[in-house]
Amino acid sequence: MAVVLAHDGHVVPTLPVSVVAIRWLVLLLAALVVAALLRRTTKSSVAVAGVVAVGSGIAATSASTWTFALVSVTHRAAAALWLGAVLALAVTRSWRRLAPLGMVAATAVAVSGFVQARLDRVGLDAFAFDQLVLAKALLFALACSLGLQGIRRAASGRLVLLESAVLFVATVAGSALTLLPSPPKVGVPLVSAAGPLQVTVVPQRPGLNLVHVYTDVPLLIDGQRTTTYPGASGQWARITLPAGRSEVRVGNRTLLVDAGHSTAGPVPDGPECASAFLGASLAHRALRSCPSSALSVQDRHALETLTGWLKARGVMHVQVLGDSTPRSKQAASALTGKGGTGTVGAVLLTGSWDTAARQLAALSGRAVPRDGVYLAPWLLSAPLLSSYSTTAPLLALPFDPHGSAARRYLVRLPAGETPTGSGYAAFTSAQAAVQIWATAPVSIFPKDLGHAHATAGWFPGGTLTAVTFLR
Amino acid sequence: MQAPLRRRRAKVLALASAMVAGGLAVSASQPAEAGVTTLLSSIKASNGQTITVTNHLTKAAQSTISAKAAGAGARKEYLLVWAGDANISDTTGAEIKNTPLAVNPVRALNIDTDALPAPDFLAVIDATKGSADYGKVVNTATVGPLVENEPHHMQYIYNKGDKIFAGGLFSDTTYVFDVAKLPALTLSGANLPTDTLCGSIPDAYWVLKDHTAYGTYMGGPDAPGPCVYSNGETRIGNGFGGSPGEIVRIGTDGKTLSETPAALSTSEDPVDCINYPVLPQATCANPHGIQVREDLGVLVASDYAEPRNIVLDPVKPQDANIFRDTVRTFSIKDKNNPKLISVAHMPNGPRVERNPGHEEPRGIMETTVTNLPGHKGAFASSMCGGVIYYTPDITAAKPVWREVFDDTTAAKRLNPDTVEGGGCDGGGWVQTSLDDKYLYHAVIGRGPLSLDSYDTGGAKMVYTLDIRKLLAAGTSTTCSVNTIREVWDGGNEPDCPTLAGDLAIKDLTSGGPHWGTLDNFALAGDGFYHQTTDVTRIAISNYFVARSGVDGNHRVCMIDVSPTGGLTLDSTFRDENEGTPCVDFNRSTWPHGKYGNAKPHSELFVVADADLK
Repeated sequence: MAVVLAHDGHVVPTLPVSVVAIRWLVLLLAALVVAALLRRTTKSSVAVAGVVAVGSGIAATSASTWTFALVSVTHRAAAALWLGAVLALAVTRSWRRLAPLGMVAATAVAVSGFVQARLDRVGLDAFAFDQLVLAKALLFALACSLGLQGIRRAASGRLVLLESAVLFVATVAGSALTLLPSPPKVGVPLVSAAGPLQVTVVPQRPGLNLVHVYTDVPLLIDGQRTTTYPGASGQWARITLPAGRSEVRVGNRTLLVDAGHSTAGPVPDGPECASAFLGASLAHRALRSCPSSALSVQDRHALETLTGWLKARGVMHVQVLGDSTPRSKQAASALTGKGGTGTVGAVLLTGSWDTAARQLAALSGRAVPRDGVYLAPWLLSAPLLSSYSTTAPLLALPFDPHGSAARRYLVRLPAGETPTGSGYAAFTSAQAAVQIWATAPVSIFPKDLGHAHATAGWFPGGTLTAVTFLR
Repeated sequence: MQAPLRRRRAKVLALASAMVAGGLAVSASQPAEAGVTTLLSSIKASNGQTITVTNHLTKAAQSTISAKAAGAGARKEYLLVWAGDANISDTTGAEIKNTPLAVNPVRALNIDTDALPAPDFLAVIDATKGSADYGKVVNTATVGPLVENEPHHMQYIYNKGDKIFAGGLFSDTTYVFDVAKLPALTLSGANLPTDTLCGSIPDAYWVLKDHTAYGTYMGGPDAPGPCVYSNGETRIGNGFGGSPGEIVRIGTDGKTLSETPAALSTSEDPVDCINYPVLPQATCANPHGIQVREDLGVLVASDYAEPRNIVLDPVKPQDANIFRDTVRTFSIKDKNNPKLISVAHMPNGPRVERNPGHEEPRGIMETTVTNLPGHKGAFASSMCGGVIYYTPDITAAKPVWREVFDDTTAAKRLNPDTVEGGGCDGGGWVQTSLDDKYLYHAVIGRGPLSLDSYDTGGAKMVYTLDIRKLLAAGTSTTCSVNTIREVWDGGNEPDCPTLAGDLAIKDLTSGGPHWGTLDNFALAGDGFYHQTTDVTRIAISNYFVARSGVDGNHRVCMIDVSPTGGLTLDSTFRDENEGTPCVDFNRSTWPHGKYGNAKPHSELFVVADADLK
């Protein structure tokens, strides 16, 4: 058993009941061992009791960051020590020796509990998590009160037993907390769970938000039926969030959100922007605008490099197909006069995901120009590549999708979320020389055999391979 | 009263210590294997990029090298296994869904470490029977900087003085290793995607007597459009992983000596040879298996599939013809300009499948030539069709191919309850014994319930056929599996191959035994190894391509072969960590570090040049 770090930056996943029960038993067992050890008066017994308490804290902790881990281990270790000291007191009545230890442990529980509540963003809302924390705090106060009375009377076995009972209930309440989702982090995309469904809410700010649910089955979100979106996986819905905390109905489950009060930042115009929001949040960066609002310098360079390379290959006419988004218009403008004329040899798609999906669908199958279909960097999204793989699209990318920065992005991305070119660009400014990347599915068995295909990476069940070495 | 109390306290202390120790032990990261020394070798590729191979030599390997330097120590034989790192991209939805519950939501450590791509490597395993290190990985030679190569095939057999040609399916790269000084090895060259612009997805290699090699590049040119080959011919391709594939000759330094189109200059049948996107000249040229008879001046290559397009656009019906049914022969009188002699479509067999992709000729994955001067024949096996074809004369202008064995016959012997034939059973490695007596074949097997609710699946197996009568019949052979009874019982004609040995492979993964190699070395009385045509053992690997949905248990096993072709698992070739037969590539730690599971695709028996006469 060990401290387990959950996915970076988001809600710590709730744990199964069986795991929570085992952890609670570990804590209880540790308290009993501590109690047995504290019956002895030697310093070594106290030291070993401390080690046991810390060990049980380590064993029963899950946390999203090392700060969380430190606070959580302290809280659990102090709780085991406190309960152990009270149990030992019930047997030995050594108030003078054990009361100070209990007080130190109680203080540690109080301080670490307060810090943990702050880290968990506990408020005075109607969330079950908040209510349980409040109940736990009241139990803690009651136990402290009983402990102080016991110290003053210095002989009441009844008070000690009562304090033990209150602490026992507090440990149950504390363990039960891990069954509940903690309140969400404010103002960053929320990655959480509504029952068995993984859900992302972007940007989790007051106003228009996109909800992404990792399922192929349509469902109702706050009364709206979800839809699919070209180029993106799963189901999507647009909802409007009020400022502050609220609940969103996802199917028959409730999702806790906290939109905060700031409306600064762009409004997501689609899944591509949602992916960029997510990429930026993984790197603790702020997204200034949705990717489709302007052609970045890097992407412009990638497109120019691509058309130059195609020209060098003897492709006389590259047809640029875009749409009315500002980025696409700027791309068309940047490439004016560079595509050549005559019979269309190759097609370069520079529109948004949905435009590109429509254009790829039209090209799908067998109507692809002789010199191929090329995609702008922001069209790197697995659903686009896999849905229209018969067009065998190639990508011009200003970064290395197999490089170390890309690997960091892939690893930090929550399971189920699709890595995208726009997500990467929002995640990091790390660039590489523009290369042309071929895309190819590698599922080389018929799908009717029901083989389970890979789910992770840029192109699950496929591969991206650089076919140039441009400098 | 005091004694029991002390005992209780002791127990409590022991428990507490165990808990803390347990927590700390799992929390701490494991260091790489102690005592490993590294040895770096690098080359400059054609584009100026530095490509490296780093040996990670265990103490056993170091001892061998020291003993050799001192002119002492026993000579050794090695099994080289070309393996890829298993990482997050190989994880399937089913694996995530079926992750077992643990006290903490952790996965096994060897899986935990597989999140990020790590180096792929050539594992050097001691294959010296009777050696104290038999079955131990004594060196892992990691390649860099390219990761996620998807290590695939090497050549079929090693001869003294050869280099090792090892391909990366996804990286479109061929590595050339020098193994003269095993257990250490060096890099002689690397052939990058930009060195083979007219082909992609390298599959298999055949090394010539001059130690250069032919490789099959199954996929089309790197970019769509016309591609000019080294012989001046032009073909229009539909891009990476598409069509047409090509035959590449690679030098011992990794440089491209020639690129030759596998496609005819004229169109093949556009219905039989479907291409996505459509090509102006249809072609089935997606060469996969390759073997050569230099004495006959003939190269044989079998076409498997247009690799990019097997899973088609979901709105369009799947076309079984994406799985090719063709075998090509080339004249190699001019080694840098092979001439395509014939394109033969394998005949359909007696099975009438509900899925046209399971018909006998679909997906001719492998081919193997006969070896003796009096023989001119060759075999071919279909992966999705699940049968073996034979032609008695590859020098003919139009070789005649017949179906001579259906995997169903072997599957039925291993599992009498088999209710479906060999359709899409994943037949892979096929190889003649060097004395032309036997034919070895590895079959991944078809998972139960693949076809319908009463399909008990196809056996995961390796089997041996006795082909002596077939070869003795020469061009007068009459063997032909053309009735449904022959599918189950073997061919009726007297010269048809007969089952000489079989071995079921127990494995619950999506894969099974895909590849193998035969041991062509024997230790002679002079203390040196000599090449032999008497095959006494073969090695097999249980892995296909994880991202295709067909993975495997990642084990490499040794199989003893009796003089009559019988197969027995060598239970002395054991995993050094688990103690069980076969070397398990699912492990936490390698000589090169704690990188977790690896995917062994192909293997080769090799003896260092100084130890080989």
